[in-house]
Parts: sequence; C-alpha cells; structure tokens
Amino acid sequence: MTTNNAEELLSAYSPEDVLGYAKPVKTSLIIKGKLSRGIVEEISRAKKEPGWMLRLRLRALELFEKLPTPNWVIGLEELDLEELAYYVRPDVKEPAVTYEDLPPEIRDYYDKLGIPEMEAKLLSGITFQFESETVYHKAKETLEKKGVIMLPMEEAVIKYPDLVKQYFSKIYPIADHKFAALHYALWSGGAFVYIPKGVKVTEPIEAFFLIGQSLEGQFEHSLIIADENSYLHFIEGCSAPMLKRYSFHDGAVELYAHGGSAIKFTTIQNWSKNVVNFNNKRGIAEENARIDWIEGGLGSRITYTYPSSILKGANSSSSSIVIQMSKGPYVKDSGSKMYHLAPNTRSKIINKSISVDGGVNIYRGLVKINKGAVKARSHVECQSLILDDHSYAYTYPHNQVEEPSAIITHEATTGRIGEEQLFYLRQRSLTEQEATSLIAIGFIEDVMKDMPFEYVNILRKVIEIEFSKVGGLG
Amino acid sequence: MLEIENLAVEVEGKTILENINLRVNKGELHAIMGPNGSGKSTLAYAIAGKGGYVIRNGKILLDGEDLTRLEPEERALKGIFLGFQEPPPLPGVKLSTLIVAALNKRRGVKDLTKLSSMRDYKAILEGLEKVGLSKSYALREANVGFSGGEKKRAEILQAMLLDPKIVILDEPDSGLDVEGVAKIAEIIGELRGEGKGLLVITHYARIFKHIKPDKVSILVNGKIVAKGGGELAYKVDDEGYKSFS
Amino acid sequence: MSSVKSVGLDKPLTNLKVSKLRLLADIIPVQKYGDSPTIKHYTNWSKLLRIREAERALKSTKGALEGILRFSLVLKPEDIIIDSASTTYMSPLKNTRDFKWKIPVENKLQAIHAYKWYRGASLRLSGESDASIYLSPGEGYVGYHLEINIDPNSRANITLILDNSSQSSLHSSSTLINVGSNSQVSITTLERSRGATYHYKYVKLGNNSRVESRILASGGEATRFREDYLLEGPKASTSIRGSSVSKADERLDLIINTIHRAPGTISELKTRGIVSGCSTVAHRGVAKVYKNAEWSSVDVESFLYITSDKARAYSVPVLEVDTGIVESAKHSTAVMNIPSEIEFYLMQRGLSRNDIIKLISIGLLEIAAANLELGELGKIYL
Repeated sequence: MTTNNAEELLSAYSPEDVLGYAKPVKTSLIIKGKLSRGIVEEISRAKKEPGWMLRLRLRALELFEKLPTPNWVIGLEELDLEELAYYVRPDVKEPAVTYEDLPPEIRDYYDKLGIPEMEAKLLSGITFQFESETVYHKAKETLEKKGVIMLPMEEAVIKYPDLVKQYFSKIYPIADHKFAALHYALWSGGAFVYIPKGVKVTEPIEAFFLIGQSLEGQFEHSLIIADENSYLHFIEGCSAPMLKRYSFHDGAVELYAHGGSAIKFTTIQNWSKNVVNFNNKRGIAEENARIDWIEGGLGSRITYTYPSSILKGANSSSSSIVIQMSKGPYVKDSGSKMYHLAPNTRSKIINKSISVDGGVNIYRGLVKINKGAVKARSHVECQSLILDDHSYAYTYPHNQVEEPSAIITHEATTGRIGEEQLFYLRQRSLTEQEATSLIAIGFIEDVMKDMPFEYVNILRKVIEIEFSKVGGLG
Repeated sequence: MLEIENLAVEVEGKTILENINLRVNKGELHAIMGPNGSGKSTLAYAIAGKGGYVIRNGKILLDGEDLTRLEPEERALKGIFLGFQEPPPLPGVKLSTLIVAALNKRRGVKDLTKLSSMRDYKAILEGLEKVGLSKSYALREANVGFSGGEKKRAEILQAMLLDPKIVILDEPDSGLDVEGVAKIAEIIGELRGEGKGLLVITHYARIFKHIKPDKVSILVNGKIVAKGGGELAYKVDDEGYKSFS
Repeated sequence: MSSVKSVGLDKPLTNLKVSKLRLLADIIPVQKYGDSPTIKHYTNWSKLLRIREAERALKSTKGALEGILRFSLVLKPEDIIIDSASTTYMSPLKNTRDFKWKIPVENKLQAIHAYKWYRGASLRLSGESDASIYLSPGEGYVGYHLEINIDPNSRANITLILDNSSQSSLHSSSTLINVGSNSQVSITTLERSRGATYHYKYVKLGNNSRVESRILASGGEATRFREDYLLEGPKASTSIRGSSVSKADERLDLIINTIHRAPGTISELKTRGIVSGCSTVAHRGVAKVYKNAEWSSVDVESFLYITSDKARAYSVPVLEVDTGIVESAKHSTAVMNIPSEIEFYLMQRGLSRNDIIKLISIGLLEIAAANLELGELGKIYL
C-alpha cells in the first residue's frame, strides 16, 4: 500500500468514499429471473459441479419455498428476490494468481482497499471474490509445504469431494431458516481451508468479498476444517462501492475445530449503505478445541449476523466478540449463540454497540447449557452506547440452563456518554466532538485488542471520523 | 476443648498445611498469626470442614471426639463456629431468619424459620445493638450490601447468639474503625469469660492492643514456626514475620 | 380518612361482542412468535389449553370460602372475597361506575378470558386505604376481572391473593390498577397454584406516583404470570420484587415488564427464584424506555438458583432503549446452583443441604410477603 493509499483509506469513513461509485465491470454470465428449479440447475451447470451438489441445492430450494420468513427479520421490505441477479460471473476465466492478471477495474477496487499491502505484510493466503466468483487466489508456498489445502470452494467440491461432503451443510443446517436455505440453493464462491493435524498457520488467511453492482445477490460459502491440534486465523473482509440500488449478501461460514485445535475467525464488515447483509456463521468444537469469533460491523443497510458455536467436546471453549456501529438509518441485528453440550465447556460473549443518528443496534443472543454439560460456564456482556435522543439499542438475551452445576452470568448496560466525562475532556481542551469520538473509541478499545493491528487502525479511524460529525446531546 | 493433632491439609493436590499441632482450651484465647498466604484461612476452613480442603494427615478433636470425617453442618452442631473473613451475601435471606434457622437447628426444632419464642428475636435485637448495628439489620438480607465492618459485626453477633464451644474468627477486625475493633475485642473477652475457646486468626496484632491473647502460634508457609504467650503477638507487631522465616 | 368504593359486576366487558371473542379465541394462536431459538414457548400452553378443553363442559363451581380458610390469613372486615360462586363483599357496596378498560386480546387465553370471565369488581380508592382481594376459585374454569382506580394524592395498600388450589382447574385473572398522580401504592400479590393459572396485571402510574410491588409466584401444572408496569406520568417510579419458588414438576413463566413512557421515570426490578425438583421456570421481562422518557432509569437484576438435575431454569431479561438520554439502563442476571460459598457458610451455621434450599425459599417468600401477616401461609409454598 502506498502512503497515499493508506492515508486515503484511513481518512475515509465509508466504503463509498474509498471505492467511489460502482463502475461497470465486464461480466461473462448473469443468471436472473424468477427463482426456480431451472435457475438453480443453470447455476449448477455453469459450475460444472457433481450431481450430489445439485441435489443438495434443489433440496435447499424446496426448503426455501416451504420455510416461513423468520419473525425476527425486520427491514426487508425492499428486498425483492425476483429483481436480483442470483449469479454474476465476472469476465475472468480462471482465478488470477498474479495481481497483474486481474482486469483493471477490479484491480482498481483491490488497490483502493489496500489489499496488496495487507497481503504482502500480513497474510499467508488470500482469496478475493468479486460478484459470484473468485477472481484472485493465492496461497503462499509455506502453506503448501505444510499440507494446508486452500482453494476456492467450488474447486474443492471437485477436487476433494469426500472431504467436502463430510462437512458441507453439516455444521450450518440447510433448514436453519429461510435465508439459510436460499443460501444453499444459490451458493457460489467462498473459500475452503483444511489444516492438517498439528499444523499451526501463524499468518492469517484472508478472504475478501466485494459486490460491484446493485441488485445482485452474493452467496459465498466458506468452510474451514482444523484437524487435531492445528491452528488457523482466518480473516473475512466485505465491502462494496456506492450502489444505485440495494444488493443482497447471504453468505455462510462453517467451522469445524477437531480435538485440541483452535480457529480464530475475524470479520470486518464494511458493506456500503445499501447492502442487505445476511451472515450465517456456525462452528463446532470437539474436545479441547477452541473457536474465537471476532466481528467488527461498520457498514450495510441492515445486517443479520449471529456467530454461533456448538461446544460438542469436553473442555472445548469459545468466545465471541462483536462490535457493531449503526450510524444513520441503518440496522445491525446481531448476537452470539453458544450451545454447551459437554462437560467443562466455557464460553464468553462480549457485544458492544454504538448507535447514532437514528441507528438501531439489536443484540439477540442465546446461551444454552444442556443437561450433562457438567460445570459449564458462560459469561455474557452487552454494552450499548447511544449518542443521541433518536437512536436505539435493544438487547434480547436468552440464558437457558438445564444443568445444575453450570453457571451463566449476564450483564448489560445501555447508556450515553456522561456529562462529566465530556466536561472533563473539554476542560482538557478537546472539542465536544473530539471528546465524543475519544470516548467511543475507548468504549470498544478493549475488544479491538484481539484484532490484527492493521484492522484496528482502520476501525479506529473510521470511528474517529464517523463520530466527529455527531452533534452534542440535547 | 479443641485439639488439632499433626494436621496436614491439601488443596487441589498442593500441600498447604503440615504438621499442625494446636490446642484451644475452654476460656482461652489462642491467636494464630502469620503473613499473607501462610495458610491461616486454610486452617480455619479445614477445621470447619470446607469441601476441597483435604485432610491428608492428622485429626481434629473436640472434647475428645474426632470431627475429621464429619460434614460441615455436623461440626457446626457439635460446637464449631467459624466467623468468616468474607461472609458471602445471601440474597433473599434475612439476617434474623438465618439466625433463627441456626438456633432452631441447634434445638432440634423442625420448622426451620419459625420463631420459637420472642426471646430469640429480642436477643437478636439486643445483640445487634451490642455489636453496633442498628435494629433494621435484622430484616436486611444477610451480608447483602454490608460494608466490610458491618459483615464483621454480623459475624460476631452470630458467634454470640449460637452458643458454640469453639469460636474461630478469621480476620475479625478487617474493615473496622478503632471503635469497632475495640467492640469486637470486648465481645471476644466476654466469650472467653463464658468459657468458650477462641481461635483468632489475624495478620496484624491490631486487635490484641485491646485484648491480650493467652497463647500465640505463628504460622509461616503452612507450618507453626513459633509458639508463645500473649507477648509474642506484640513482638510480631514490632518486628514483622521476617525473624520467623 | 379512608374510603373504599366498589361495585360488583357479574358480566359484560370489552367492546367486542361475546360471539366475536369466542370466534377469536378459536382462531388466535397461543402466541404469535416462538419464545427463543431453542424453546418454542416458555409458557406451558399445551397444559393451559388442555385444561380449558376439559373445562368446556364443566360449569359447576363450589368451595367459596374454603380456599381462603386454607390460607389462614388474617381477614379484616373490609376485605373483598371473590369466589367462583359469588362476589362477596364484607363491606357495604355502592353502585358507582362501570368497568372502563378494555382487556387486551393478544393471545388465545386472553381471548378466552375476555369472553368467559364472569366475576369481577371495580374499586375506587382514595385517601388512605387498604384493600385485600382474594380470588378463590373452586373447580372448573374461573375467570376474574378486577379494576382498581386510585385517586390522586392517595395512599393505598393492595393485597391480591390468587389461589388456584385445584389441580384440574383453569384460573384466569386480569387486574388493572390505575394509580393517580402523587399517589403511593404498595401492592402484594401472592399466587399459589396447583392447576393451570393465567394471570395478567397491568399497573399504570400517573405523575410522580410510586408503586412498590411484591410478588410471589409458584408454578402449578402451568402458570403464565405476567405483569406490566406502565410508567406514564413524569417522575413516576416503581420498585418491584418478584420471587418464585417451584418444586416437583411445576411449570412457571414469570414475565414482568416495565415500560417507561415519560421523562424522569424510575424502575427497579429484582427477581429471585429457586428452581428445584423437576420444575421448569422462566423469569422474563422487557424493560422498555421510549424516546420521550428522557432521563429515566432502569435497573433489572435477576437470580435463578437451579438446584436439581431435572430442573430447568431460563432467564430472559430484555432491554429496549429508544433514546441516548437515559440516566441509566442496566440489567444483570445469573443462573446457577446455590454457590458453594453460600452452601458452606450455611452448613457452617449447622444447616443441611435440604435446610438450605428451604431457607432460601422461605427467604424469598418473606421478601414477597413483607407487608402481610402471614400466619401459616409459608407452608403452602414449601
């Protein structure tokens, strides 16, 4: 990343500012129309995928048609599936392996997001998805040497059918809700990662998803399998330029952490303000395994994301740290879910949100401790900051205990920035706006410490600028 | 009379106390002094029978009866009272209800919280006044929102009312002002006068400025390193524990 | 100065016709949405409705004062007793006014209640007054409706006893309490149930009024126990202590909502519950701060002790805040067994594990019934 680019990125406060207006990018195939068997078959054909996957898609389509719209979904009035392109293939024959091979329009987005710099400095592998397909994919040699498989999802379906079959849709069930079923019917793109036994991947792998056009659906599916005693940090980034109308993202992430392994999954969501974002995430942890979810949600019109862990093996553990920011008439509906199925499982949920300028933040969480999950422990913390008199924060936690030796503790606070804090900082010569952004950053500081440094900087900067424009409290 | 013979205590597989020999006679104030982490509270918990405090060796005898294998409530009913360093808050249980229940247990009254006689209630109110708490504390939830000092006063109140044979007090003066310490010391003196055996566990000799112990044992690193009369407490106060380790 | 005016009504209600309500009761779902991602309903609706089916035929009711006597509370001359056979007032009555409020119809049982209830009373309290109301059913389906209006600048103590002691009966009640400005009201609600109980209470607080409410609920075969506190006047405040004691195979869904609709309103809600045997208990509630309720303060604290392998304990404290201008809004909950420190402490005082569960249960009862002369009431719950 050149210094200029870095500065541009850091001083921007929304993806629109970084990426500008959507530019036309050449495409080679667009599938749209009334959602039907035919459409699904056409996508499957375009991908030349095996019959079992087509059957899975068709089953999902049936379920989509049968299942009711989930009652917690709000703000989807505008969404009209028939308007959407379900599949958009950019005019790139094979995923590029060198940056120069990318079409210049796509490369321009890529540059503006500062990904080449990030790739060089930080990552051991990267996959870049534009619209429905992977356009750039690169795994560093070290990964190959260690026996790590990292492929675009559809390539894995063809090359490792048995491995994929064993896990695909087994962690996040197709029938979980209507939009999960839709995802499975239409999925395209995403990353597949398999980490062999005992392998620790020290530099993160990143997947970046970009939606380039309005009225488009993106349905990527990522599947990560960590074999026994392995470790991986996976980063997912999402963005879109300014779109004329809305677009729809309905992706899924499945994690399987085998005995003693650890997966850290970081999401930096910065969709532009007219993307409707469904993010279906779930992981299973076997004995002594660990899953850590970290999510920073900045953009999108409305986001539904509920990182979930199923603690299936004894002594497994999980944490979920989610920061959501809603500035303007946008909604973040998020919440973590922890299912304790085995003894001595531990979980921790931290959810922090900032609402301003009419923004709505919703926490919808669940901790369920099943009978037999002896001495399971869970702690949930929700903190919401509302910066004016017309923004909202809702907290809906469910704490369900069916095992007497287990403990769930839960704390939540919703509040504003104290007059005294503001006055103190102003007395120290900060303007009210500076003081507000300083306090807002401080509010989420402790949860940012687990994120990669580069991301923390971006996040910090975004907040600084977002909140420098906040008016004082009445 | 409380006798501790050759006691060794393990917590989570780690030996905390070893080769402890102690004797607390009727009408005697025995001080256990030692620095932080020396095992003082462990000794109190082991005598009272807290779970997880494994007696690896030795015996605890009360008037010749071996308590070592008894449940905490059985030991309590035999006459062991422990005044906690940090008594836990009991949301929903009033202080008076707690005391009434404990008294009824001792008398074999079946109905746990039924006030057997108004005399008990009167005794609680008088006791509160004596330990320096207002009467309203009878109706407050036990240890909920109590300050450090208030907790100590409520503990000594129970020591007075439950009529145990042996009163063990773990840091009975922490969180109290000078007046409070004097009051606790005065009550300790009265309990001793009634013929109860007292085992007072403390880091500092602050409380012994008001009442002189009959015996002092110094506990360092899980072992009793010195025994002596009351004056030993003042020596510790002047010189600290360095000379004992 | 004391003045209690009341009127007994033996039927009508709501602006909906009975026929329409009956139809509604058939088509309306037990509740519109599932309660949680893993549990469809916290309320044991199937039991509530199964009893209702069985009750369609059952008309006869009996046992007026019997239930009350079982409670052995100290009755006062002005107490109001409403049983399934008659509305008995021990004080003289005057026909003063009609019921004014409508019953909300938001679920099947509410609809059934709206057309089937047939005993009720409307009271107006002013000055300094006490009102004790005993709802004592016999067998079968029994529905009650109560309306209590408290004049401005009054002080009132209200005691409400819901006694559904028959295992095969369905007991539904709605109580609407309207608290005038600057009034101070203390409400004690004791619910004891063996059968199925549907309880709804709605308390509306005017300017600068204060309500202290104490609640004790037990499970029965199925209990849905909901209370709404609407802080409608500026500076209205409420402090609510909700307790539940459940054992055997009781099912309880305790819902206490506090709704802030005016500036400077304060609510404090503390719920405690002990869940033993094979019982299933949910403690739920929505604390809602509307946009115009600036500088309000909400504090919710909930403790559930789950003491046995077969028990289930659910805690769902919801916080909805529509403005950043809040004094404070917080909740904390814990679901766990009786902590080992407490257990050891109490054992050290000479109590066994059973004694400890009992002691904590009694403690909860005492908090709920602090304003009452209890007599032997405690035994009923334990």
